[in-house]
Amino acid sequence: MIPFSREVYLGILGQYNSFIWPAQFAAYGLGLLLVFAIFRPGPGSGRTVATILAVFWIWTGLAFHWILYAPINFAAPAFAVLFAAEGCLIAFSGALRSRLEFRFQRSLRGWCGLTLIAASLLLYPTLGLFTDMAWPSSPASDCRRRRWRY
Amino acid sequence: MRYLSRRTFLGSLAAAASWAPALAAKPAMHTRPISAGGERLPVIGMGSYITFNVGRDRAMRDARASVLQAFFDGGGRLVDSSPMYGSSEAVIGYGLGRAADRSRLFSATKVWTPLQSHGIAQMIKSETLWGEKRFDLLQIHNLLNWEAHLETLLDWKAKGRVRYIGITTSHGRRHGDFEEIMATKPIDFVQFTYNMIDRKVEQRLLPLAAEKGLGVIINRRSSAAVCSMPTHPAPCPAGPRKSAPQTRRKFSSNSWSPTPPSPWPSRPPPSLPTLKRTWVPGGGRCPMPPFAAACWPTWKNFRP
Repeated sequence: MIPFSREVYLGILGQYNSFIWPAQFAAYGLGLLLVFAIFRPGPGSGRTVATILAVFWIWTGLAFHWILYAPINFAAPAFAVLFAAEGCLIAFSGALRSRLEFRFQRSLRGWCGLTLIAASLLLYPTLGLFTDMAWPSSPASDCRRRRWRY
Repeated sequence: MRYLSRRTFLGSLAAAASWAPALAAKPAMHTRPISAGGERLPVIGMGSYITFNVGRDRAMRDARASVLQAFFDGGGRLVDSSPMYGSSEAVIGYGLGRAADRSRLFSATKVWTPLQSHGIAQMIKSETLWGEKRFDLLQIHNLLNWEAHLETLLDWKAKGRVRYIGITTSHGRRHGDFEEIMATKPIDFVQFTYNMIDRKVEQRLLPLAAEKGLGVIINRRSSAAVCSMPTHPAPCPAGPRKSAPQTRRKFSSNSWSPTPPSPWPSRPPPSLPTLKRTWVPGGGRCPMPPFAAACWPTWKNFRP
């Protein structure tokens, strides 16, 4: 059971997007850099990818889940801790010890990962174009539930 | 013969004018007794699950404060929340701080944590969020660690830190435990789900509540729309027969009274558009409680 309405969740997204503006462009640029790094891996690219991913995970855990999401969802602090823990693990294994490599492989796992990357870079930022969620309260999650439309 | 003087006539006119607002005022909300002491509560309360969980958004908080004020103006008293509802308790406190008169409030919240010590801290935090020195009702949310929290609540009640205590269950779970606690523990209130889809409490819990003289708060009483969900296994009810006046009363009140055998006719359920058209005034979208107070299904509106 989700204890908040779609309106409130989109409001939180709106606050977040307004708060970090215009950092979205920097984040998008870093995302493109990650894609380039996995298709053209070079020396040190594993460490670069791991560092960027770790920053993203920790940032999302603290800035979104801990600060903005926690007031409306009792589970958000747990999400924040898990996101931060994931970020720390990636940073430890990839950025500090250089034990992670990222490259595209023509396998089912590779194509699934590429699909997720494509969705996050192309579909997710443009959801507002074909839904009723206008900037800054977009992109949206799967919160459009019938139960909120009695 | 006695004549009407000008002075008497004008005096009578002024007296009639002073009574006019009272005569034009809406009748007071129906009340039901909630304890052996005879205290009564209006039958419609205000829940805060989802609807009051609006975070720090100032505009949404102001809108909820207006709803709270309208609720009090309309004769309502019971406001119910829980620490599980995110920011709802903080938003209720915000609204109460702006209410013209909070003396009508019957404050009800819950304790919801697996740890007894954290439960005490949680209840103290709830008092702060609401701005209440003493809650009228504290309940154990979904029976979570009920043994430990009941010990705390009984202690608080003995010390006068809370007036009534109770237990809740949201989705029809643990009715066996619920019944045992009702039968053996000195609680004052119970809260559970009861609507046209979910009528299990008619079997044992409602009769037991009546026998023990417990106050009853009904959850999810407007869950008629639940049957419209594609994943819901239960068919939509078709509505009561016209010769079931007691059942009509049952669903038009927050409190329970003894009922006759099931009045549901064996005919196909109405379609979703029919349900919306007949159960929701205006036939449009019906927001979640507390705004749903005006659009809870009533048999008066039911025209299959």
